[in-house]
Amino acid sequence: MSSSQLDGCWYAVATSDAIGGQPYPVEVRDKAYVLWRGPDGTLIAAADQCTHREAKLSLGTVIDGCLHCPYHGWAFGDQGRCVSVPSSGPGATIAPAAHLFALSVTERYGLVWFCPGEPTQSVPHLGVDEDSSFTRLNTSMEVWNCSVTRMIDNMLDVAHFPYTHTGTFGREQEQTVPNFTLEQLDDTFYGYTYSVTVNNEAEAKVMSGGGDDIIQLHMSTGFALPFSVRSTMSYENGIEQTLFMTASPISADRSYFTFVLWRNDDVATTGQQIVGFAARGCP
Amino acid sequence: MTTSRQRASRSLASPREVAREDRQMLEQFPGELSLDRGALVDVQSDKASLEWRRRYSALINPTS
Repeated sequence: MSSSQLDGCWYAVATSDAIGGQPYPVEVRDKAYVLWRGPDGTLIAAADQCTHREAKLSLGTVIDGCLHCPYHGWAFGDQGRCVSVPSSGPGATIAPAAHLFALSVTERYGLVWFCPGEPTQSVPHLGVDEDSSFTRLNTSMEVWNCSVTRMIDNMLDVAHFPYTHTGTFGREQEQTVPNFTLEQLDDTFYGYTYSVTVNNEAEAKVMSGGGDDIIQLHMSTGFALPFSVRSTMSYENGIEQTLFMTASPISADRSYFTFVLWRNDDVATTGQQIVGFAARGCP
Repeated sequence: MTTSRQRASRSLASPREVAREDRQMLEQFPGELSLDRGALVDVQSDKASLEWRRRYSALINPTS
């Protein structure tokens, strides 16, 4: 995974609520970066290395939106600009090379998206997030000890359901996969639509909104390069859900993973309330 | 009576459990998935993965 083309892609590296008042370290493709919130709460991203003696800035502290290096106290503010070199005294001229090179970072769908280079791709567009009849639910960012390429292959794969997911929805699923056709699903995702028979017992009824123990589910599954997959699920009772899964490469065999779920049957509670609730940990 | 928050929590529990099952399986495989044509045996149900691998290969090797 050495292609420089991947530097221009966006990677989900954290949930928005995980980045608060202190520096937040992330790794993408074997390189270390630091994220923090500036004075106005806007995210700032840079290499996790002080311009002075290369100390890990993520071990420092954030005070009033400025990231202070733990080694000599150099402070970095908006856009990574060095605003203080304590050993030089107040008002001393700061060399241009002292500034950090600010990297691209943005927030979407309750996730922090980071691009280590000049962006050449877009953050995947999920129109469901603009639909007020859907509620967004976020979960935590996990680190999996496997390659991101294996994760995407898995997310696009229906045939493993009745074998890998015997403890959940795959228990009653057909083993034969229909010969579906690949198509452009919308302006972002490319994939296929299909119907599956799934187990709908016990907790599965929370997802489906009730019904028989075995139900028919209409789905579409598609990918957006490099490492995102969206599955939409439509139940016969009118409940619709969108499950967005995204992975990001930490190294060849370690990856970030999270998912975002939108559903159209819980509109009494705002998405933000639920995001906060999910962040505190669900039983 | 189920509150909206309880419902939200329970809504996340099911996909979390599905992800846990996938993670348990995938963490047994070392290394990256091969992108070389013919390196893996593919069947018709793998066509989405095959197309992702084709497009991903084109992304990371735009001149080949």
